[in-house]
Amino acid sequence: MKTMIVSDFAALRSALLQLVGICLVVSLFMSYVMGAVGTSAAIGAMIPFMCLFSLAALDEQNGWERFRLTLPITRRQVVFGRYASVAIATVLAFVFSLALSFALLAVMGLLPAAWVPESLAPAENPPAAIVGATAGSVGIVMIAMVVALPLIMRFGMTKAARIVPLVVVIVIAGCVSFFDADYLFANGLVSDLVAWLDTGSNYLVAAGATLAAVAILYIASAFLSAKLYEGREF
Amino acid sequence: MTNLIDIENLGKRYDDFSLTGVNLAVEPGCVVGFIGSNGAGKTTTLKAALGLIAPDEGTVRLFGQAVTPGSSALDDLKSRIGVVLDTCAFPSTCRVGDAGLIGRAAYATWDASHFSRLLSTFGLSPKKKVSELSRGMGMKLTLAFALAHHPELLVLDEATAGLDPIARDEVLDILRDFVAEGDRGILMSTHITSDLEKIADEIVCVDNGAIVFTSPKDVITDEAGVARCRAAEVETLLASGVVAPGAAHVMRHDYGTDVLVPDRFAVARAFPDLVVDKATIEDYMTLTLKGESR
Repeated sequence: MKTMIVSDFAALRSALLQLVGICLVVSLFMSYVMGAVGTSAAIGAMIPFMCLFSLAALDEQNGWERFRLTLPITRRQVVFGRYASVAIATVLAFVFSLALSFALLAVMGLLPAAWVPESLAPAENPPAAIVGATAGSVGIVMIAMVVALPLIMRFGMTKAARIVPLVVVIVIAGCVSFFDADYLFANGLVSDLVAWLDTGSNYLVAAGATLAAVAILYIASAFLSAKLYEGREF
Repeated sequence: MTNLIDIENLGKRYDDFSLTGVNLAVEPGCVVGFIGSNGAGKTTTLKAALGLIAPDEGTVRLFGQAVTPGSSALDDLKSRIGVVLDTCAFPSTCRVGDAGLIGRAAYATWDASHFSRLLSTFGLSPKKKVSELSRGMGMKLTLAFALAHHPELLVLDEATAGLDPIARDEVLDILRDFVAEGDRGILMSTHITSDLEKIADEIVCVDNGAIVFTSPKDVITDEAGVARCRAAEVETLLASGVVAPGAAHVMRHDYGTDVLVPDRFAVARAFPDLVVDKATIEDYMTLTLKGESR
């Protein structure tokens, strides 16, 4: 597994450094429109997804995926190592996006109030909401990875690129038909949820619960991927 | 002494291709050249040898132990093998030095100073990106990676492809040094048969998924020959009894007929006026595969 993590981050290093620079610049513009809450959520979601698809694309370059299996590493270690790499990238992205948002707010706090755009006013960006929104977006991205990773491990990036959107559409269609949106809004369930989130530290409670639930799904997805990857031929 | 690789009756079926009854062995101290046309089954055989694919029939043994794809026991066996496939496989975003990090993580026996020496010998800067390497330089990086953990067996798939003649000679010198210790061996699949003439001990030829011949290299390059005949001389040669029935391979071309004979000295003695050249591995393979067996 160590071999996978080392090779994944060796391959990602230059891209990650570029991405950090891009995120710094983009966050300045995004925060003006979306505030620190939206910026943190967007960056927290963007980085892990970019890492996943970069790694999957690099796997197929020059036969790296096949060559890697000639190293003393089992297929299970390849799969679990890849999940670990993506999880590490996700945690780093989570911490980075929070640090970026809080740093941005700190800088805004040093400026005269008249200079600070409304979207970045402290009242619009409570810390609990920033953490909750970032955890929510990371959770959504991780659910996408829970679906995408087994398909990528089984079919490779090229084939999975055709299959993943199909599966996502089917999942979304299933969810829409299962959860009646009109019913949810008409009966005040959505407004009740928003009101609950705005109460006390419930954003943090929701964030913790979301990440815990997603982590369980992520681990289950890793075992499914390991099973699928065993049968793959190169 | 236990063979480094033992492949017995290997079979693998795909929709459009089948590998059947492949037998191949690499003894310690030997270089086995694995030749054949494109799509003949060389890479499939190598993949099975490395446990990348599960054979449908037959057995593969590495260092005397059966290979079971996906097993953790295979990890121990793979740690004793250095592999060079037909491309520089490292991710294009990595730097040359990153291969050393990957090697250190993968192999308990990784020798960082040996890797650095090999990079220096090959003129590779650790700071250079893999994407900036030419094909030849990429192959040198892969070869340095394969050698830096002191493997007992090298499996090379077109390892010298893309190298200029001088670089190929350097690589062949390194491979000679590698096997000189006596307990190591090389399985080398290549289309550059002149490399095998310089280094191989045994030649195995596969065609259409089956082994066509297995022969010591010296039998091919020292004993066998190609008789350059006019049309009328072919039948005389074949009827003379100098060549056993079925042992000659005849191929006609615009300017005459080439006959592959197993003993060029016997033919030269019996037909002093006939030109009988030494056979190259390429001659031997081409005439065996394309010539008419007589």
